Amino acid sequence: MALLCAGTLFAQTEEEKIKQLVEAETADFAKMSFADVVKKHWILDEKTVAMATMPDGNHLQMKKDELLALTATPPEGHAKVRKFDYLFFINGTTALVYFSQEVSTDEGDKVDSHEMRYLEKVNGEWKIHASSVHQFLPKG
Amino acid sequence: MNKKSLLLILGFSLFGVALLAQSEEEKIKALLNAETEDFTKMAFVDVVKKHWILDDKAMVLVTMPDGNHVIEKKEELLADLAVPPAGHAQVQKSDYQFFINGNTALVTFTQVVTTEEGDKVNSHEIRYLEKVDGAWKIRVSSVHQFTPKV
Repeated sequence: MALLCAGTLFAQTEEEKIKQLVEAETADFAKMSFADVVKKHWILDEKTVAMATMPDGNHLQMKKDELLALTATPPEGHAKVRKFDYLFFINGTTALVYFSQEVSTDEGDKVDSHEMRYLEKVNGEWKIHASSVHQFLPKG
Repeated sequence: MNKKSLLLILGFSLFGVALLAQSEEEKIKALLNAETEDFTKMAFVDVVKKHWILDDKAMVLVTMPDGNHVIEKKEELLADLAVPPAGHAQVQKSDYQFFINGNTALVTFTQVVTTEEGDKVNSHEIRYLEKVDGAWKIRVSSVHQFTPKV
């Protein structure tokens, strides 16, 4: 019985596994180049796509080759990242996850975003295949 | 009927079936085009009632070229009663990528809208869809509008 309870406690749901991946991707962005982050957490093929729009309206769409060309390592910093309002759409080996994000830097700058990741399970492990990031300045 | 005629008829029948059978990608494209067309003549609320799954997870994310960002959930979508002005904007969708897994799908595409006045709005868009009673419906939309770099 105790073993069963322990098993239940340690058994991660698919939602928890996806959250863990999304949070690991964010943590790695602070210490690795973008190219290394996508090599670690993404499916890289001709369908791979990352869309991001910044608060000033500047927009980027990057496919596999552009992602792999981002080899610069980020500057050291101690931004705080908070993710919340998760919504999951899971269908077996594919999933869409939505979340809100707040980033605060040591300098007091803040960037909010509404984000999505489309994931697929590869050898039992969730990987990101597409990403959509809408950054915006907090109102008020 | 000789064997040659029979084969000919069979061949035409199979060709006809193949022409009529829409692939899932074609069905999704048809839905996206129908949704876009309806936007020019219906209130947003009627468009989403027709083409969307409206529940507590339904969501639209849009960022405009100036960076203005909007997120709308079911209640906001159903409150959008304004009917669009009559116009004849041309809409071109291209660069489709499909991620289909049975009764769910993600599709990405590029869109260019050109108004009669010559204004253009470009966007990279995403829809997440689910099949309900055999018909694809939209559940989530992400629209990144942007000004093309010259």
